[in-house]
Amino acid sequence: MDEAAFLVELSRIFSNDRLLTKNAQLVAYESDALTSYQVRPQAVVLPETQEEVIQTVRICNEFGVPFVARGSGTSLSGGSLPVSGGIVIALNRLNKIIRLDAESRIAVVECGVVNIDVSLAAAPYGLYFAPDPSSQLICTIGGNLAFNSGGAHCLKYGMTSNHILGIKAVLPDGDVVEIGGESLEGIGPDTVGLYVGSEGLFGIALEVTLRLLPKPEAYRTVLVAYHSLEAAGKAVSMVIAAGLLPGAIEIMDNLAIQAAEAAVQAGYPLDAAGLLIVELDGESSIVEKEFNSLMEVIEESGAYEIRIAEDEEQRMRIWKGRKSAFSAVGRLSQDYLVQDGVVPRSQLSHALAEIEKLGNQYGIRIANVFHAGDGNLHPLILFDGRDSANQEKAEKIAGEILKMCIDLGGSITGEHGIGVEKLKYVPIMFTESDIDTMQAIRYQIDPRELSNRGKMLPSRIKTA
Amino acid sequence: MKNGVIDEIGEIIQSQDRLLAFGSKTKTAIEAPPGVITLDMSKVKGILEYIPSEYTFTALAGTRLDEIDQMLAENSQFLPFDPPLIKSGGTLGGTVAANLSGPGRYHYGGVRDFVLGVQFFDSEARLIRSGGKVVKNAAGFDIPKLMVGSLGSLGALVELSFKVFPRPKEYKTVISSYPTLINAMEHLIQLTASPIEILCLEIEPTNNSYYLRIRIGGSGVLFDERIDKLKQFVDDIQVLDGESESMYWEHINEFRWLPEDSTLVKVPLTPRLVPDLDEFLQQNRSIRRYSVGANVAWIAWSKPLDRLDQYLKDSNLTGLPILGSADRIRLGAWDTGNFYQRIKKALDPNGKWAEVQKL
Ligand SMILES: Cc1cc2nc3c(=O)[nH]c(=O)nc-3n(C[C@H](O)[C@H](O)[C@@H](O)COP(=O)(O)OP(=O)(O)OC[C@H]3O[C@@H](n4cnc5c(N)ncnc54)[C@H](O)[C@@H]3O)c2cc1C
Ligand SMILES: Cc1cc2nc3c(=O)[nH]c(=O)nc-3n(C[C@H](O)[C@H](O)[C@H](O)COP(=O)(O)OP(=O)(O)OC[C@H]3O[C@@H](n4cnc5c(N)ncnc54)[C@H](O)[C@@H]3O)c2cc1C
Repeated sequence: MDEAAFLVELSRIFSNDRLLTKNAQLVAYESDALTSYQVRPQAVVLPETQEEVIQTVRICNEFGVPFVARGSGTSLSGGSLPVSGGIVIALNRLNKIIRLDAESRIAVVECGVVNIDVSLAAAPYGLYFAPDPSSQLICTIGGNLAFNSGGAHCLKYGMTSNHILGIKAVLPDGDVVEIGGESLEGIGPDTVGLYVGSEGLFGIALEVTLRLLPKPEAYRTVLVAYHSLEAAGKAVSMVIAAGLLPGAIEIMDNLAIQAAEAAVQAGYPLDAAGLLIVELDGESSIVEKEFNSLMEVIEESGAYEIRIAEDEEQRMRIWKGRKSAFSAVGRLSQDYLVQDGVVPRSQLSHALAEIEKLGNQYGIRIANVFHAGDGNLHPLILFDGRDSANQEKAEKIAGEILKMCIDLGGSITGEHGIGVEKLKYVPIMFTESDIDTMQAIRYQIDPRELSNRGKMLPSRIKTA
Repeated sequence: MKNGVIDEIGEIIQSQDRLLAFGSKTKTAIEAPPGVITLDMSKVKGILEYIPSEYTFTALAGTRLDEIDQMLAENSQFLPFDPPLIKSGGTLGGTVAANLSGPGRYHYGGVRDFVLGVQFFDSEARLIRSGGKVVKNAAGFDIPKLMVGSLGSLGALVELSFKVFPRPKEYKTVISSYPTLINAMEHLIQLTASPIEILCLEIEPTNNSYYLRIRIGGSGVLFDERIDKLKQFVDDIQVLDGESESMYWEHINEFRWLPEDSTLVKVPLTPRLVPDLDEFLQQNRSIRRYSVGANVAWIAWSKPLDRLDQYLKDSNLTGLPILGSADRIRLGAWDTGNFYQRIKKALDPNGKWAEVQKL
């Protein structure tokens, strides 16, 4: 490849301030939120229009240069980690909300629009965009789409995929395709469903049609403290068994509570071994009725403290603690690994006990915050990055936890994606022919692995 | 024994060049092209796993919907997208392959939103798995969703895992009528933006008025209070409940309203497109309903299909005949675009799986 000629081509589109090639400029793009991996890209481009993205992809295709799409770089699995010798296409500036059609309850947005901005734009019409990853103040719709991101409210509302109706994308060879549409229904194979969650392997989503929902009329949020984590886990099963379908059911363990409390003073009971957050949402008369049933269950669940949010401010305070948990744990330890394996709900208590055992066995601290309603674990494994033996232990634990999730009939990732980090567990979760099938799809779309090479699926290209 | 049936199917797949999988053919309009061997998947049946507290189940693709519905009902659960043709013998695989959701799709989501995992025979007769059995999973390509609407063209579905929800104990349906479609649509649109939890929302045109039907449900909730709230949006209402209410929706969802010699066609759309389509359908004297908050039109078409086909093409809409006879299957502006073609080539390099389409 003629590197100089490639950069000259790019410079025809991008002025100096939008074509970054100097080391000092590139450092900021070396990692995503999984900072233990770093790769310096050859260049970073900052397109401002869809046409510039399309042209960039076409140039990459012409020169055979791999590219990585980057939204806000909050991926926790190395999804937006650059590829050596490749470029990063940073999409934050493609942040136009093209159309918001309240009557049809849809928004057509560019991929770089920040998640929360969709809901803010829809608010005047009483609508919102349901997927709410904790990173929603910064992460982009493009990143949400690529990872099929979740959040606290998946149990009732599903993941990102359940809220995407149409996609305009540039495929890795520069072809521009439009799939899906504006209707809730479709006919023909659900190609939008396949595109969502493809972790950047199918080129770049430029423009996305999102489904908006009416904002729930009422919320009821309750914070419940237990003397054991197991009791909190059991309470989840009881809530589900009662036939309730809360918007969210979250659990935090003591270490996570301590961290969140130190960071944002959410007013959590510091002595709790397990903290349960349950939120009901919907039409007010239904929520009130369900809330009564919920409280009956909670009162039987062996809790030692129950706090009900009396107003929106108290509700936001409860959520603030939970949503800041990851960054709060970052204050306890600069380095940590987050896993997001899934187990069947009925195995939650068992899984938590196993995680605790692993922590003790290796002498490593593990904080737990998780989407209990979905069985989606989030163990935060704390380590010291300067101590390689310590880091190795943390990685070992992470691996053991993922294997346990597979053994229990679950998944290695509920929402953070495989990225580079969980690549080695793919052959454990999938058979050879399952992987072959995914590769066959990938190679029909991108025979040279130009789009996000080395993520999600093993690469057949040897990198330098 | 079950494995025996599956092995047998594998052998057929290996020995044939052109095939199309079928359930038990409730969707009578969808047929294999001439010269294509049909693969009878209706014998691949049975529920493999159901843990009510997990809100999930796994069943073989040929399992009949009525069996599944009954099993779930015993645990006060259901498939919230209201699969059509339960009573007529529809199968789980056929529901996925034809992408059929009923009125409940409005509130909860469609087949695509509830399918969690799939195992299918690929064109080399290998059994491939994708997705999983847990309610949340982001590992690997989401092939289960891709199979929704695939009409057998990407493989033969063998096993499917689904997410389910608690079933409302009680329902009521609020009906109002309007002299014009525009009138009814205005009310429908106001309702779609309201925070009232409406399970189904439909418009049914008749000779001289347009009926708006609103289904609400819940367990032990105060229906009177909720209906009062609805009265802020709709006037002169009639309320259906009990047996007559459930029979009404069964009538709708089994398509018993379809006149004898007509073809049932599904047309996805958005509320804005309804007025133009309705004018065309009225001119052609078609019985029709706008379901899922006017996101899908169910059309009983009794004239030659080329006329509807042309209209849909001109309006950039698509249509799929489901019941009755049809001399063509892909109506209107079907996406056989570049992205789909690549996937088809990847999953079926030798074109073993026929694409339903009358030639
Ligand atoms: C009004 C009515 C009354 C009926 N009454 C009776 C009756 O009394 N008794 C009776 O026995 N039958 C009856 N039938 C027929 C019967 O209902 C069929 O039994 C039907 O069960 C099941 O078809 P299906 O839903 O599985 O989808 P199908 O119509 O079989 O298939 C729909 C589509 O899905 C695809 N597909 C289906 N299965 C798979 C799979 N596993 N993998 C990949 N693709 C697949 C097909 O290729 C096709 O494109 C009736 C039908 C109707 C319409
Ligand atoms: C504090 C914190 C909390 C978090 N909480 C959650 C949570 O609750 N739930 C959850 O699911 N995740 C969570 N995450 C993970 C992360 O925020 C999500 O994965 C998010 O969707 C990533 O968005 P992004 O814009 O930062 O994407 P990036 O990290 O920039 O990219 C992510 C992936 O998407 C690809 N990509 C980006 N844009 C496009 C595009 N336009 N077209 C194609 N591919 C593209 C990239 O190549 C990469 O593979 C959290 C992360 C942090 C740091």
